[in-house]
Amino acid sequence: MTTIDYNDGVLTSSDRLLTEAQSDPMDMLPTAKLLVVDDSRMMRMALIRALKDLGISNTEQAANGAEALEKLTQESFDVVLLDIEMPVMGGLEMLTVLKQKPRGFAPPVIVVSGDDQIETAVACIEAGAEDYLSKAFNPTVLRARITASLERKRLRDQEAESHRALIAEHERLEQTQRRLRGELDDAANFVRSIFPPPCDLPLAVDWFQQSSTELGGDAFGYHWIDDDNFAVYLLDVCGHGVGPALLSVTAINQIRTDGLPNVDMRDPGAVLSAMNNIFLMTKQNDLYFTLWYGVYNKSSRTIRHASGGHPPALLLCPDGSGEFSVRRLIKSSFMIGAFEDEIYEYETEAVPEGAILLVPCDGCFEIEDTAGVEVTYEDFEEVMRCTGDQPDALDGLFSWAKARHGPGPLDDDFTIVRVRL
Amino acid sequence: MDCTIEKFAGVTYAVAAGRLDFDSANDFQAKLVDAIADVAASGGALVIDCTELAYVSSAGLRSFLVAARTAKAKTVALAVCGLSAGVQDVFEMSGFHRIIVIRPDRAAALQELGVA
Repeated sequence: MTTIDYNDGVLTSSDRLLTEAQSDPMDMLPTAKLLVVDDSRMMRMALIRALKDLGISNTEQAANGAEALEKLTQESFDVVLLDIEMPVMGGLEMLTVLKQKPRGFAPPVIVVSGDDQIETAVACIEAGAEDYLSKAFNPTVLRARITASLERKRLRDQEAESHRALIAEHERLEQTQRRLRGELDDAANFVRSIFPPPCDLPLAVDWFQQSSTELGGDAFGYHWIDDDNFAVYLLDVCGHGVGPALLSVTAINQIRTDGLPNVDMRDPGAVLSAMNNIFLMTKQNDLYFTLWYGVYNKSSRTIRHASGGHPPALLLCPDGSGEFSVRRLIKSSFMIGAFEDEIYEYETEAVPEGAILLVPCDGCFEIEDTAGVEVTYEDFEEVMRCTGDQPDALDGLFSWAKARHGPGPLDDDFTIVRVRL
Repeated sequence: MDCTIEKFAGVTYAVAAGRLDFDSANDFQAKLVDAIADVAASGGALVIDCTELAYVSSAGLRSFLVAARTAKAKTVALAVCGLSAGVQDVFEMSGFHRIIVIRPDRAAALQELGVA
């Protein structure tokens, strides 16, 4: 027979949680499935009867903690009512085992304790039980405890479901990220593959290229137009990323494949004028680029050059004493694509024996140093004047730029081409 | 970079400061276009004061290009002043000195625009 324990008539914080979180918790009772664990068959019957009175008819029973663990492994329950003192495995021991199980394995556990077992009940709560109930329970309190636990279970299930959905979304995003990274790597490899390899004969050419992001906007090339004329070119599309990289590759291919109809590729002005009209920014998603284009004529030892908004190339000229003097090769006009029908012109420079041509992009020197001071073209020029003939000068220039910039990647793509003339 | 719009004696000043690169060009460009629209509606002239502008990349020049085109379309008088040596180099390298009035300071800019 159920006795009424008036001392247990006070609602606990669990009960308040219930009223806040569940507008009609009684709805959960008919569908709830409970496991009653007690070594006393009479106590199990009393609890099952009381539960039935509350509308809970789906109940299972176990005579000790070991049996209960077995049932929890086989099927899922919404709440466990757990006795403390039982043979084979008591309530506290069972809770200790449950604590080792993965999150979500066990439903909320309500410890059913005798009045003389309060200290043990406290230990059970510390071991993971959600709540406790006196064996001399009041039906109203039983209902409150169970509905509170059911609500906790519901919230926990919801949380677990959200967590599972979040994990799935995270995995999906990671997959997308891996795919995009793979595609960016492929694109970067493609861009690199169109850069000509360094060579030694008949002219020694090497270069250094480092993008500030996966895909940069710089592209360059060099090729013999005919037996006597060698073209060198470097372009820099405003910005970085997929769009600028696509434009840079398209534009550089136009030059390296002699893809400018009726244009004398030995005439830098004509090349830039033609490129300007082909790549008008109004037709290129508002992207434009700077371009330096030079043609070295072997017989006359001269270089023709023109620039569309690109920084000057440097010609290092031996001064006879083992040092170099520098000449800036600049005949600049608007960046390519800015204004339709712009006429670009070239200039011609004599090339002394042993001269070195250096074609940089602005990323080689437009750097804010660690003190917040802007590095200048003159700084770059001086570094190249002193070191430009050394085998590792281009790597050295990049190290210099990184040192001036400080930690982290450079803000802009870094590209420089060197030709020993 | 920062850009603040000031108005003084009927002239609008866009005061640019910091580093203008590809990433900051869009915001700067939007402010210039707004300022040009404002001047077109209320009259006056626009001076872009670059005294505090430490650096302009070739990609950042797009803001000035769009500003020059917008000002021309709306017949708004536009000048740039206070370029540092480095910024002036970038302007000249890119041919911008041919499409935008560049003067050393505000007074010279106003004189050029005929509002001094």
